[in-house]
Amino acid sequence: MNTTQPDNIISILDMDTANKIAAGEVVERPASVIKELVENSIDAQATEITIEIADGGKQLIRVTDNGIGMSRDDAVICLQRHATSKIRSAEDLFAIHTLGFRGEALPSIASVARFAIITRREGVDVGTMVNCDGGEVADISDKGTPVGTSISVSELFYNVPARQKFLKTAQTELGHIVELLNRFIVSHPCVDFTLLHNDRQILRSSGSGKLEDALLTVFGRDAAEAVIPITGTYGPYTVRGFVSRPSYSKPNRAGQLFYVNQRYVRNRNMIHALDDAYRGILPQGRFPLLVAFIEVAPDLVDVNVHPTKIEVKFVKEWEVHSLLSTSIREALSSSAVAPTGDDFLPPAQHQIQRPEFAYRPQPSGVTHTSGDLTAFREALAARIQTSGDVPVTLPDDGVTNLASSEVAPVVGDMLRDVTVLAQARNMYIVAQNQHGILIIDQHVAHERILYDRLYKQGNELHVQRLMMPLTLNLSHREAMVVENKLSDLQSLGFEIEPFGKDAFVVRGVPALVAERNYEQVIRDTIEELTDLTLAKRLVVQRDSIITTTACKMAVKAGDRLSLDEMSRLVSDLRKTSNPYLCPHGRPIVVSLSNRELDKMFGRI
Amino acid sequence: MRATCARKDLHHGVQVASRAIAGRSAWPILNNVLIRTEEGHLRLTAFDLELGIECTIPAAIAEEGALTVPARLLAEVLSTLPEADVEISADEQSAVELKCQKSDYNLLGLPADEFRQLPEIPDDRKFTITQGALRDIIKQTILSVSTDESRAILTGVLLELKENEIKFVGADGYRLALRTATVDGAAGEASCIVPRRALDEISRMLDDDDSPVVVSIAESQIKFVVGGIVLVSRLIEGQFPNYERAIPGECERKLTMPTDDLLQRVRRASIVARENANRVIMKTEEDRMIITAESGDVGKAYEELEVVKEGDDIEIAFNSKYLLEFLTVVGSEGIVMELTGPLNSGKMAPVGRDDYTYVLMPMQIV
Repeated sequence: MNTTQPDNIISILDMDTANKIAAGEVVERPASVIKELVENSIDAQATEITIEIADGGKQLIRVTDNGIGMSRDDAVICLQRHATSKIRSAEDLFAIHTLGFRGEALPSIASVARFAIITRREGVDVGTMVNCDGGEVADISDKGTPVGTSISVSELFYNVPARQKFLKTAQTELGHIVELLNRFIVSHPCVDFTLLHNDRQILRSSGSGKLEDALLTVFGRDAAEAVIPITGTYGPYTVRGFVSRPSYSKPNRAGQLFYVNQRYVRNRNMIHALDDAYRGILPQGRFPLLVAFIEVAPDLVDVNVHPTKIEVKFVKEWEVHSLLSTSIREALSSSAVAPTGDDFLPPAQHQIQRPEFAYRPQPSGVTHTSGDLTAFREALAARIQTSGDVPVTLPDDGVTNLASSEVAPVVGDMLRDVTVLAQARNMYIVAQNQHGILIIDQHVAHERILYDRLYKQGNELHVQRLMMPLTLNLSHREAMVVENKLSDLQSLGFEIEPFGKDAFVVRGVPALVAERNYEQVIRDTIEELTDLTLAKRLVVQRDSIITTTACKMAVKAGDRLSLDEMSRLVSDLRKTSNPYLCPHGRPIVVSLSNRELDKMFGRI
Repeated sequence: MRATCARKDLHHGVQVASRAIAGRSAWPILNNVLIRTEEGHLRLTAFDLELGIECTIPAAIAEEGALTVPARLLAEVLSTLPEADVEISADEQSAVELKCQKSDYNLLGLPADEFRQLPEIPDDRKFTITQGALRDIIKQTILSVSTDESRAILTGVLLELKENEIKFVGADGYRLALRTATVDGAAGEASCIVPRRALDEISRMLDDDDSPVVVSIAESQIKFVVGGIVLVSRLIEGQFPNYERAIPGECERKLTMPTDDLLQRVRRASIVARENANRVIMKTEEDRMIITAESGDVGKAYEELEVVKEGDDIEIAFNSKYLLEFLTVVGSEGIVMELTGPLNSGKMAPVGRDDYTYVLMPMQIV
């Protein structure tokens, strides 16, 4: 009707378009459909929820629960926009106890897929089946079915080709779904979740009601055993949950789950509180595992910030911050893992990891350099002095310039006759040769050496067998990846074999890492491979396995190296295929030529 | 307080005690040495909460009391003072004065009552051993102690005391060293893990003679008394892995050879092996053992050695570094190697002695 009046350009959208727009916000991918459906099942008091998917959820998603079910009228009306059993009026918005409430999810999903509801309420003899295509109810019929609701969503986005194009591979979508269900398993340990992909069971939670069991399912046994409980109250906020001891950490934040009133959320403020509590306990780039449940009266938190309800706002953000960081700190110090200026404590289980008074074995043998800046300056001054005596005239071969703001990597054979002077910030090797002063990033240098070595294979790669085999109890996701890449890992020197459900036993490690924390190396490698497989939607090629392994095996920024180790590293680096660029493409060496240095001091 | 003593004695005392100060602590009192008057001498204590060392030096006491002063600073000043008597004193404000001939130094101290006392160690679980024996035992087991901080339990030596026998066990993921000895004056039973640092420090104090060391073990600390020096260390808490399971049983295949001959050859071969993860291959042929190493960048090594062989021939690879460390400390003319197979651990022991066992995991021969 409004199209007939060309002067009026504003029109009210028809229901179908409104639903599709809402779908755009709520339904991005199969995982978001499952999120909405599972939330509905939980709100319907289900204790068993089965999620069946085919082709990563692109072909079929079916969520079946044993909840309270719906009457026939409800089954039809729920497909209308803003139809909800969960709130009645705007006031209720500020007292939300249920997971869903907007009344947008079902109509939105129904508008972009072929949709079917089968449901029966307790006490009603016959169930109802509602079929729906692209938002239009196609037929309503009687159906014999157990109490509860089963919703199938097939051919997602069949009528929105633009969306369909953005769906990733089945493997990637599955990854998102597993991640989503992991969050539900942790927040609802009473519910028995089952995930079937192409009829194969991928995930199964115990539904025992114990958070410990949920952590076991989601993170694997090693992680579950490394956590300590946190609890606390601050004003109207309470927190409970678990945090890992410093002995267990991950290279990313994948193991950090925050919940507000049992709803998984993301909130910068809470991440900051965790980092605050952990400051100085873990090295840079390592993250603790955390599961935190914040409970608060519904009127003190706004979950209606975004349709997916993943962002939340607290009335008093700083109170939540303070609650979280204090509770974590207390948990850490009560298990004696955090630095305290305390007495000669009776050794608690984990005090050896206390950073301040920790017992640290001195590195045996040579200990030359350190982060001691004075010593470093003196050494540097002394060396520069001597080199000044040698009459060197070198062409300024376009080599980098520390004086200019952009430091470029060196070119040409700058690594000839290098003398290592010192280590700066336990990160960089400071060295010199006749050209000038070189600064080498120890981590990327080592990464390059290992990459070349692993790539070449040959007889240079040896396995040192372990006296006490290491058992890895992985999460199901990680186990799937390891299973797949078993032979690649073996060819890189990890003697690893399956050892029961999601467990592997390592009987030997690459001799190259034998003297270091090999457990961390293998765990980090597995973690990154898992991320590569699932998150970055790559079929992981052997090359990237090598890159990952090399990176994880290499010395880290922050590792203290002896003068011998550094000299060795530099001479090995020179022999590599490209001593100036690491496999990820970062520069390894920067230099300051004698000429530049002299210029800076106004000598020439 | 006020006391006078020989510069040399005070300097030596401060040096001994300050071994217990590992680094620069953010808590200033932990960087200080406590000096306290006693009848006819001064008692010096340093303690960084992990490790504490106490010793006494003769002194003439003019006024009783105690003071604390930064240990490094005091040692540095003392090291350069002329060889004469030194008078050390402190006032109410913890200002420490050090006088020696015409030199007069005022150093800022901290109140003595802020200093953490060494914990009391009861004497109900203890043993006595000679300095020389303890020194050997530590040397022969500490080589296997892990330096990987992530395996805290393995960064110390397991010490077990039962009846008149002690056992020391060092193990990292790849090898294990077990030493046993009989001791005198043993009381009680104990099993504890002693940090490497404590053993390193106590080794420095031990002479190679028969004078006694008394070792007392408490719930969470251990105390060594050597001469007039007392060393107290915190123990590593936790459960040491079941090491007995890692020691292979009797084996048919035994190789006996002179320690030094093997040491020389492995050491030479390791020059080549260094570039190749330290791998040396040992292979028997009749009554000879052939040791080879090779590295693409360097070349090849070949060594031959006569052995007494029981059982079949074998080929096995080891990390030469781990072999050499054992051969250097075993202290016997000959050794016996028991080798079950190329992928199983090898057991090594001195010929004719059953108090020392070294177990080493092989490397794979691909």
